[in-house]
Amino acid sequence: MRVTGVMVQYYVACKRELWFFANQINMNYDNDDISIGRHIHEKSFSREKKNVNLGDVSFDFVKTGEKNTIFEIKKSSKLEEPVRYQLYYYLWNAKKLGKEADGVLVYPKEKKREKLTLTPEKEHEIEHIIKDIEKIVSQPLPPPVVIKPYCKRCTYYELCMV
Amino acid sequence: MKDPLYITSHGILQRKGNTLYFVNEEGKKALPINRINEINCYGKVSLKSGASSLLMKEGIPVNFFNMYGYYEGSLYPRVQLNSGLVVVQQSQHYSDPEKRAVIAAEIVEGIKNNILKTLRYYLKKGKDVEPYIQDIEKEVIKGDVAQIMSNEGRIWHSYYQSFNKILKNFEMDKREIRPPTTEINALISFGNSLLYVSALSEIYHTYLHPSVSYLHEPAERRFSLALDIADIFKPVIVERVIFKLVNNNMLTEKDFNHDVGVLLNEKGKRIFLKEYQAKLETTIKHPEIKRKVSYKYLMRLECYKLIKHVLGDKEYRSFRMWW
Amino acid sequence: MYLLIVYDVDVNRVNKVNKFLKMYLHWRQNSVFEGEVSISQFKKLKSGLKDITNEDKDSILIYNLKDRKNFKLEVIGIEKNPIELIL
Repeated sequence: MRVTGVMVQYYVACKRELWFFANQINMNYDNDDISIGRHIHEKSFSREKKNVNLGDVSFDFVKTGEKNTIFEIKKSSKLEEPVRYQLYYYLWNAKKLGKEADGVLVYPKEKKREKLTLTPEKEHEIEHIIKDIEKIVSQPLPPPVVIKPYCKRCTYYELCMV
Repeated sequence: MKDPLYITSHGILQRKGNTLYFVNEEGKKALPINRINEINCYGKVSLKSGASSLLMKEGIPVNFFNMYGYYEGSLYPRVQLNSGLVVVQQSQHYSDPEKRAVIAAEIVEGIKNNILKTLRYYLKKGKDVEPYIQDIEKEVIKGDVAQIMSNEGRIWHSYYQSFNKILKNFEMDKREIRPPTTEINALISFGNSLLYVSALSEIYHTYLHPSVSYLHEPAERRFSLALDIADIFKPVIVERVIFKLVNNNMLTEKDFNHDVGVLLNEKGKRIFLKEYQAKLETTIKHPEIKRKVSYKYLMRLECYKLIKHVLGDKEYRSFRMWW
Repeated sequence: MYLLIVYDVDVNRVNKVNKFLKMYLHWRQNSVFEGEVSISQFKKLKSGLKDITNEDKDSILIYNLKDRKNFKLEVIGIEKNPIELIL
């Protein structure tokens, strides 16, 4: 199974969302927030290189200086923790391919940036997460609904609540 | 929120720049492509190839209806939503007769419940519909799919009979189609075709396959899941529109043509479409979602519930008017 | 959100602005557009207008009326292009 960065993000945010997404039930198609996200992505950093593919994952963009930096651009910092893990996963992937990098989370609207470095603990955690994702996704039923503060903003909200 | 476009006159849809124009003898009208989610053609409408490729690119389906208002077919954008898992499970719930009967019975429970709600509303308004309510209440929905279908048939029959007690004008003789022979039959047919297309467009926004259905036989030529979903909502949407239009004299004899059967004329169609669209956009606070949702969106939610049912996540309970 | 957009731009760009706005809003009469947009469309509309106009020379006014219910339209003379989606 190909684990993507978004799946790692969903794993931290909501296991049920992860299951739906990995089983090709994606609800992003007519969501206005997603359109805004796409628009921000297109308008920000338009001069730099975007959507780089590296091994199994593709991420927002890389700047190569003395040390590689992987950027991840987000609309808002509401899902801080899940997004951090998404980026840690990219860093872990890069390291595996011998291209060690640091990460920067960028919230252009909030003019906020956060620098992340992959530590041995985080590496270990990512490896555990990958194994757990594979286990959850292969289960026949979606995990039960767990109400969280950000459910109301989630594209699966109606599907879960009805 | 995007809106559907209805075209009851004759004309041509063409592309100019990045948007759409409708051209007819009255002139040229620009239509904001980003504000439209579907186009329903009742008149003779031609699509230039530039227009059709723009519409497909923007994911806007075009539905065609014949002079009777019957659905003839659609130009649909390439299906974007696809989940093998959902379609496989959806089909299994059809091919296992017991599983199919569970869903079919739930759909008929929904129909029964919503018809009774409608009739009780008119009972409260002084209409003598008590005997029909009693007949429908007696229907115990159980057994195999064939038995459930006969439950359904009897429920609709009693319900249609009650129309003469509710309507202030026109008569409901018997339900006749192709072509309708009375004004009321013409209105029911027109409204049902509209609702069918609305249900179909909601199904297209989910992962369900529109041909795999439970109450209706999938062998029928139409997208039979849309018929399943639409049936639950007919009393809430179609009939309520008809009763309002007739009882408030918003539609009268002069809005119909009486040559081959009875049909709404162009003005009549516009009046109906306006009321229908307003009804679809009516919102109501949903007790589980805790948000206001439109009647149209209730059909989307019905699809979500079916997806959860076939995946084994949550048992399907059909929509019953709660207000 | 419900918008009313009025523009006064250089003659060389009038056509561009008109064509662009026609994708999102109903054309009401010369240099006037009106209609409902989503938040993402509003953002695209604004950045699109910035791309095709010269901000030192052109002028575009966007009235954000929030909701169609917030205003009452009165017409003197003829209403050239009523907003209709039943044609």
